[in-house]
Amino acid sequence: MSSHEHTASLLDQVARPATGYDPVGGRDPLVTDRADFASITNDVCGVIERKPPVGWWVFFLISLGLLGLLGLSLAVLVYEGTGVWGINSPVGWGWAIVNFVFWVGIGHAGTLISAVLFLFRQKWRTGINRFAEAMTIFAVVCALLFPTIHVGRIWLLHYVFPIPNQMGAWPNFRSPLLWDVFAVSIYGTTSILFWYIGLIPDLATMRDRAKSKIAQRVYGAFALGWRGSTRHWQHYEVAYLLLAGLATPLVLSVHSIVSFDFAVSQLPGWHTTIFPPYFVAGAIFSGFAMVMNLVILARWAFKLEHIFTMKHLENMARVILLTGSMVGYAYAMEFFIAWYSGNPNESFAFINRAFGNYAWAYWIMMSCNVISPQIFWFKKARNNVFILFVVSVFVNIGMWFERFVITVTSLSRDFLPASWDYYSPTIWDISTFLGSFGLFGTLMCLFIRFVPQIAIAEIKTVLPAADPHGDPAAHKSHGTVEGAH
Amino acid sequence: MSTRHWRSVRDLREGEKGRPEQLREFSVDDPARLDLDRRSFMGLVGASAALAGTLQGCLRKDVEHILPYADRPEDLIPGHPRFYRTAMAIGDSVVGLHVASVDGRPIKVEGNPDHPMSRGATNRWNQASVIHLYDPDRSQKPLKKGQEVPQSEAVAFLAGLLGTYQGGGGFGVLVDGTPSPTLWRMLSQLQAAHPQASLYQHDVSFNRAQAEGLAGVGLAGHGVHYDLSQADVVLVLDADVFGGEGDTVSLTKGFTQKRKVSAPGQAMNRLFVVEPRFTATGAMADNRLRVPGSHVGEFLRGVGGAIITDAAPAALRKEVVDRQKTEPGGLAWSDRFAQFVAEVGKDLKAAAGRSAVIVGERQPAWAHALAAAINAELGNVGKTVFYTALGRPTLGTVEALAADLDAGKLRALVILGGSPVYDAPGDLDLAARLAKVETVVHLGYYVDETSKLAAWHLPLSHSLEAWGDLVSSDGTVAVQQPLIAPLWESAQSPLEVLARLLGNPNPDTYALVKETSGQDDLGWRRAVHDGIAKKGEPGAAPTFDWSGLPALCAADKGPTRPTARALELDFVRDSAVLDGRYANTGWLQELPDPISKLTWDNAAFLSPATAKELGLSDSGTPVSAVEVTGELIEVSLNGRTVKIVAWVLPGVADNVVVLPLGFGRDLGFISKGAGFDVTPIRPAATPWVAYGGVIKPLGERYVVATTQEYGLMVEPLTGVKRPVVREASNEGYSKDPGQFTRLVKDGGPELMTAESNVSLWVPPNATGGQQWGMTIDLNTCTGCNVCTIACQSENNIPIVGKERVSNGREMHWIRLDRYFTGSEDEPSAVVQPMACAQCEMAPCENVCPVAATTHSPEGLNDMAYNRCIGTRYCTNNCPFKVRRYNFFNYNQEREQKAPLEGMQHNPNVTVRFRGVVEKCTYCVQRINEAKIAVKRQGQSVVPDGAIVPACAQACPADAILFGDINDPKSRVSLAKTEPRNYEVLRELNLHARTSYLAKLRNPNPALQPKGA
Repeated sequence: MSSHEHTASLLDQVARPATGYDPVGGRDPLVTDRADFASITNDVCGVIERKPPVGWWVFFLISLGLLGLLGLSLAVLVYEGTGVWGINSPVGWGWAIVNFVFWVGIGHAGTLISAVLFLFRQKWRTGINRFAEAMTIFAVVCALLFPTIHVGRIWLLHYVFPIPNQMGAWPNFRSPLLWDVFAVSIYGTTSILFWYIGLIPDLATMRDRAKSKIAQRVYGAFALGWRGSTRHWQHYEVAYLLLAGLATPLVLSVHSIVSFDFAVSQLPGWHTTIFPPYFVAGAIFSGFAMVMNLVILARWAFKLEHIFTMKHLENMARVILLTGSMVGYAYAMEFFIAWYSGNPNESFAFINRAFGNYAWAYWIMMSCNVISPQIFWFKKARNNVFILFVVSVFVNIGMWFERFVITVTSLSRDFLPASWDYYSPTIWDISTFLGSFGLFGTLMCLFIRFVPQIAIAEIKTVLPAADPHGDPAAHKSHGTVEGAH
Repeated sequence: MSTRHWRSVRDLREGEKGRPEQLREFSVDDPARLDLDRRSFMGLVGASAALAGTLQGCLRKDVEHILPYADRPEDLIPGHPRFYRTAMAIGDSVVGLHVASVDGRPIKVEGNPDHPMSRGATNRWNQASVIHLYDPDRSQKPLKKGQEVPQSEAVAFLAGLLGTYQGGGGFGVLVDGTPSPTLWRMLSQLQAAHPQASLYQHDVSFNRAQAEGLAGVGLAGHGVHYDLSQADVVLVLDADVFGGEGDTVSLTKGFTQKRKVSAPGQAMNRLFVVEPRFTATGAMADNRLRVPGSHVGEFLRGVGGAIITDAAPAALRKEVVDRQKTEPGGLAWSDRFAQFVAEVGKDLKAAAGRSAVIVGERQPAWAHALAAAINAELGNVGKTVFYTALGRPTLGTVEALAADLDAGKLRALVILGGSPVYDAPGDLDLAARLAKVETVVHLGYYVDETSKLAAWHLPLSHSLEAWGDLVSSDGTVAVQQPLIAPLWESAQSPLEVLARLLGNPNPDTYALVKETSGQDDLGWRRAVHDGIAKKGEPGAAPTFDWSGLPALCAADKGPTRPTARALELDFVRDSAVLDGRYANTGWLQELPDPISKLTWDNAAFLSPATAKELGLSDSGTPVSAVEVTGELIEVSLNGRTVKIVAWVLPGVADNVVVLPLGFGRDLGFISKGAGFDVTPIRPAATPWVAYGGVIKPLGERYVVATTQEYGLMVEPLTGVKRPVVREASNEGYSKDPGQFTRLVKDGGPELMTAESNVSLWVPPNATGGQQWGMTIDLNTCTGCNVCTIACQSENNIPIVGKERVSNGREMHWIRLDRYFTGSEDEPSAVVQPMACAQCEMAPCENVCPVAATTHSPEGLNDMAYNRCIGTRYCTNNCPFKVRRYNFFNYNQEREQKAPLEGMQHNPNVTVRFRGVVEKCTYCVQRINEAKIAVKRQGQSVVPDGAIVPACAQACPADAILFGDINDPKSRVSLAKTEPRNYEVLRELNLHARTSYLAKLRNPNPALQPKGA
């Protein structure tokens, strides 16, 4: 575990050794295991430079297989028509839209961690922000896939864009689906920009360390000539701050607008004003759960426990607990409003949700989303990687079901009892969803292989070594996690 | 100098002064001239090239060269339909038709307004006849022992056939029930030329019991028709008169005359229905009694007992009143039964001369005779009930045929239409019996069960392909005029076959029919134009001969008392495919049964109580599964067994199994695998109501396709009733006319006041001078389904197949929602036609991201198929769920499987592609056609009634009114001012253009279930 100690650089000798000291708040260290500037660089870049571990190959090949399944599913879908899915009348939206909202939701944690926590000076975010941002982008890619493929005539999808045309036909700006087009694409663009700006110094590091010509060229091109001058740093930080400011409202807007797909319609069970905050909370909830899952896997696979520390995991668990409770509150409030509104259709929609033909889905959602995160009231649970992992998986299952319950149960039994019908997915619904995990996993594996998964430059700022005035001897040691000390 | 060309002297002179402005090839005033400088032009060319390269490159469409006529036929306007009159018969019921033909292809059937059995309306089989015509599985070539032979060989064979059987010995002809005077004339010619030839008639759709009953009381060869518009009390006994039985169109038309309650306090007729199954007619009933089929006659006798007076002929008294006294049926009347008998008797007597008793085709001959007697006693004959001599010959029955076959009497049998091997009662075992005949010649529309064992199979022409004449029950003779030459040239009509048998190898059926009509040239031309050769006239009052009654009634073995172990089997003609003749017609296979809502299958219908007793699971309730299944059972009778799926249907009499005929055929790819053939257990002695059936559950599930999974207006879980269909008694309505639109807080159904419905959006652009609207009168709608088929025919709506119907993907633009009301034991049902309501504040419009559905200035919710990308958001947001999505490329699929069907397509309606949403347009093509016609006359306002959507046009009840709601005097505007007018889901502030008129019933108060 201490290979980096042997490769200590000159800088290390000048800087005092790290002894669990947070230069900013004097809190518990954000990076443990006596990491220093060089070891951080070596650890993070080493993941890319070394041969990937077997685990990576396993994940990569599984993901690639699922990606192939996605390709097949899409080919069948486009060739045969959307009828290969289980959708029907009245349930016009099935798994595709459920998956869309699910992936958009997951794509929320990244921006929240990168931008909002950055603005709030939450230094602990530095360990996980790169990872979360990458996850966000890939989740948004998966999310964008579904509304694209769920339309009946994918070859005419450009009709949703305001492209001047000879017919003078414009998209309908009253339609929430059109708002979606803009909201999600803006969110995707901003997330990519934000991620890329943050990557530039690290790409330069990669360029400088690269041994092969191709790597030097590619990293060099993407590093945009970064030389680490003060002027570069100054511009960089302003740009980063501006983008953080720009991205922050998007965290709230994207899922609010996605929720409008439902809230703006008049279907009982969809037509509710609580949806925007409830969807945003749910999105953060599921996004953090997904980050939790991925970080736990990555820290285990690449032995990065000293950077993705338990403190990160515990903080995320707290966010999950908070947002999970908000979601639970929203569930209760929906019922209250359904009764309080005096609207019989609305009341029925919710009674039917809990006790009707899709009650099974509702109770899966309730147990996963509301009950399971409550275990995070206990510190022991927040510090148990296994529990963290399992509960996060539950949360993601629950959040998928939340979208399923909202989308399908409301449609299945709406206004006229004569048009009620039941919806079940077909094998192609399932394969497309699994395939989207393949797309996500493939992108994630490639990211880990080729891009520093931890913001090297940024994390160095929270190292004790970054404090020019720090004197570790003057500080009380804050009980490092290593028992050896 | 070149030669100067000039056109006029002026031209020549002016030419000397330079060419005048207007003669320059491109004048500056020419609007076609582009006002562009060189740079703009080059820019435009460049941009067009780029656009063409990028956009067109990815969306290449096949170039289609449409060839115009070099010499256009004088009276032909491309795309403009021409109309011809013709007629069509099913069994003995005839409907005169008015058929649209485009470029020589019949594409749409409408009713002949001059024909008394149509009066402009049609039934669902008339509507479906166009697609039946283009059935790709039709038989195309004559077959000799299964091998195709040229038509000339078949013709030569026919011409020579009777030469072998001089005098007709050993020769027989079996015809179907088609009431064609020319056919009858030729049969008598055949009989005259070959006196020993045997003639038989077999047709499941022919009301044989009625014919035999009337024959028994001295009215052989007579038809019965009713004028229900004059009847205040109607008793219908086991007859689905509004759902398709008999002259269903004229019966519905007449009946609903007295159902149109335009103001509170107006009187309404009363309908009693006594039946073992649940029919559309039963759903219309004001009082309905469910009894086993064998008790219906008992009921009739009971009612007769109250009506037949001492002055009646002795035979009548003996068979009705006395017989009741001596043997009270052997049946202990339940209180309800007795009460019904008494009250119905009272009501009929009170409405003597203004009432009608109708007995169904399933009841025995003696019941028809008794009904005639009761109608006569009530003085209804000549007022509401008419008996007309039609000249129908009495031919041998199918049982007689079986007996003759056994006796070896026949060596050659010519079967003209139908498939007796399939549809004759199973215990006659015609297949085995016909095997003994040397030469069986079968004229059939399909290569069917009968053709397969016939020595000769000859293709039958469609009624739209052949000349003929059809006499309806009132004596009106309609001309059946071909709209098209037979699609397959070897197809021939029964008339042609008969003529060929009689020695004319090239018969001119036109001349034959004309000859029968007895018209001169002028009269005949008028007849062909009008579609009517002879108007039916109420002839002299019929003279009944009651002396035959005892003989008829001897067949009455009295009612049986079915139990769960000895069930009554009620065979019925299916509501869509009838006796199986339409088993290969996709539109009809996919047409939901009015009550059970099943498609693509028949099922053994059982009451909930009987199903419970037999241990069959309830399949009629909503289930949490995408596929609805029923349990497979074996039904046996007299040692014969069939397999069928059981289906629990409220309203069926207890210990009764209703078995629809017409399924389980293999005529082509539509009929294959659809339903179960129940004919094998159908007994010849009691072909409709058989006693002693046994059910054995097989423990397997069978997937059925129903278009409606939940059948109540009452929500599950909460028990709250949704005010979708609003209903009251006529009495209640006259006392409280405002009840249908009263607010919930005042005990009414309406959630919101009109004032509280405020919209966020600016109301749509409704600037058109005429604003289209519709009302649907739930009080007259019988749920007969004809609107669905008419719409399908008009609007090129594809069928999707059983699997997709079971997944909720049927495409019907107008559907009929059926809700059961009342208790499970004595249910009632209401139907509600549901199509796009053209909401002014349409929820579908604002959610479409590409604005593919928008509002027209005339208030239509238009669909731009070209623009639709298929997000299905509109279908989700449509509260009526009337938008239909093309999950697959249904039309292309159909074209591949059935290329001929494309010939039926309406050229004025887009054939939709995969991935687009479609829905009712109020028949916008008809609106525009009317507008164009008006505009050409220099006017701007389409007069009321000039536009009739296909559904309204076909509707025999005239339940659908369409017109301009801006015009306060239009029929639709007046209907909308009625207190019965209400909007479904008004609380959603939709401003739906289609509103409904609430349903009324006029029950006998003494028969109302307690608490109702």
